[in-house]
Amino acid sequence: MRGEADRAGNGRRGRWLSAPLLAALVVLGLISLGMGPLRTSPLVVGQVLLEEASLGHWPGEVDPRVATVVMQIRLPRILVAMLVGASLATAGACLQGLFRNPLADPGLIGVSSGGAIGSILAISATGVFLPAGGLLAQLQVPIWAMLGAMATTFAVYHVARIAGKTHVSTLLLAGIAMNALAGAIVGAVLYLSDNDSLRRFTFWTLGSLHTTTWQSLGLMAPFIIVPLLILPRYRNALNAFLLGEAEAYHLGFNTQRTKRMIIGLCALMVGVTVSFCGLIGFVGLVVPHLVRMIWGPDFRRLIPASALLGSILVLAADLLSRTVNAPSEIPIGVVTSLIGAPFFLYLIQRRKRQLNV
Amino acid sequence: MLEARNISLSLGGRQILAEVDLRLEPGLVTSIMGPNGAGKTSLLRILSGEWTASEGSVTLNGQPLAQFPVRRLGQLRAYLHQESSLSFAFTVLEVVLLGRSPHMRGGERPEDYEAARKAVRQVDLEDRENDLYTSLSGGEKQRVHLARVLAQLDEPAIGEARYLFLDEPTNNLDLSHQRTIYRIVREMAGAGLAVGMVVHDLNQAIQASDRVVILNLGRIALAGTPEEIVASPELEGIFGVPLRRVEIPGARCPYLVIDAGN
Repeated sequence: MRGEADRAGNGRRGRWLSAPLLAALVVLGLISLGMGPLRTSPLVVGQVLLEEASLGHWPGEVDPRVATVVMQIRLPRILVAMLVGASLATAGACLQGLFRNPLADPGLIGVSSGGAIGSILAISATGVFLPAGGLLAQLQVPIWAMLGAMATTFAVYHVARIAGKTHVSTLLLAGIAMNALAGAIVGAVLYLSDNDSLRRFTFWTLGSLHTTTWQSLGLMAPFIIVPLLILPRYRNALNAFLLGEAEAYHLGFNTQRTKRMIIGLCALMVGVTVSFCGLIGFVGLVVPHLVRMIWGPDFRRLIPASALLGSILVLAADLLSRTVNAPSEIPIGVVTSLIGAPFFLYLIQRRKRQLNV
Repeated sequence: MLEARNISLSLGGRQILAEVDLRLEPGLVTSIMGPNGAGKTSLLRILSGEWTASEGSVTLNGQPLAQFPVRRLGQLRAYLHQESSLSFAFTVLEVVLLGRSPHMRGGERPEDYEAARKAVRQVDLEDRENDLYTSLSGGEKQRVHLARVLAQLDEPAIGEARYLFLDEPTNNLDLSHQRTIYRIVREMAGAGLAVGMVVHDLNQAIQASDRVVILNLGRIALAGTPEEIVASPELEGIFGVPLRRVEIPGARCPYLVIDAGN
């Protein structure tokens, strides 16, 4: 019976719908702009946006208080949510390709933890690693996060590989080890922290977008947008990687360079995301899975679709996190984990046989 | 022509191959055989460029293998691994289309689909081309990968000799599909490709080959035409079993049967 059902659905791919996905993202963004402790109607949101776009030449009257909330608090936060979603989902998709493993997720396999270790060490030792001022000082936490994420990805890749393949079990075990290490370091730093830093650090473990400003958006954006633009160049190589590293080589791809680029770019995105927004779990696992269910595993669709759907998911999760219990916020990582963890259990249940390595 | 000269390989202090000389020529099927652990797969990997020998040289169409860009190599030779796996739900046709990668810039062209469909037909999977790879049996999966490497080499415009490497292509296959494989191998050689394959089944492979190389303990123990190999008294020593040669009407050379002693 099951076999019949499988056959019936075999090879059927949904039509590629980038325009509706993009439209959904924009609509959700506009709704988010109006939601919050200060409820703003879509009409007013539109007026504020037009007022800004026309550089104050818009004839309508806009309450400056509303304009400040929409432009200075909500808009940057919404853009960051989109960037974070795109970065985590795309990194998840690409790492799954590289590891040839549909259960690889930046959070589960320890890439995010590496980023957290890097950023926490940098924060708690500000001025020790890089005693610089200005832009470099603001970037030192993201840079250390990125280095941490990169180091863990390479470490996990090497630990989990057996004769050219990564097995689900070794991969997840390596991830558990990395996450435990990060947990221990975060715990130690927390224990030694004063009250103020304690609050700052707690947010790493749960994830939050509430500290977002235009400035942090500006600092994050290049480190996410540039990898997002470069990664699609490796779509054919990633498809070939799904067959195996040796197979990809025989199909004419430079496997060493591909591997380094994918790991580097993913670590860049995830590291920067973690350093600014903390640990937001399961986005990289859930989104590529949904995309593959609808459009199949081809990276030519997987990468753009994951980026779009990831943006939508994180934006929706952020909307939930700041409206469910308004005016106080639930950390966004709590929301994504509440969605993602049951999904992960479902995947394990479905793939049980493969996990038995 | 692909020519390997004086190939040696040591891994972790262990000598895998020693002083191997081998040629693959367009239009000819060369089988590499030998007991387990003789270094057959290692040799095939070195010939294809996947591994680098510790000593010796491999030249492809007169040029050192290492000087070829990876993409160009992908156009000139294809390699069927003993076991390839794929845990993502591609359809059969999509997997075979991956074989067209070295010829594509951007997306698939109509000729890529043509080559892929032709290869799918060659391995008898045309009625399953839209099925998910993950739903196939072991033998069917093996045939999908064979179709993938056939599609990879189906580019006559390349204008240089092309090479097909097969590592145990009949693994997991039932008798009728084993026969299909050998038929395809002959067809490929007939079309001017050089075929190098590692095989276990002496008899079937010998019938399908133009040249046979027997490896033992990393060295070439015997090399020659199928007739010369079958007649060689050294075979018993190499494989460690008493053998009997049985004439089969219509067969090219006698079949080798383990002599049960009665």
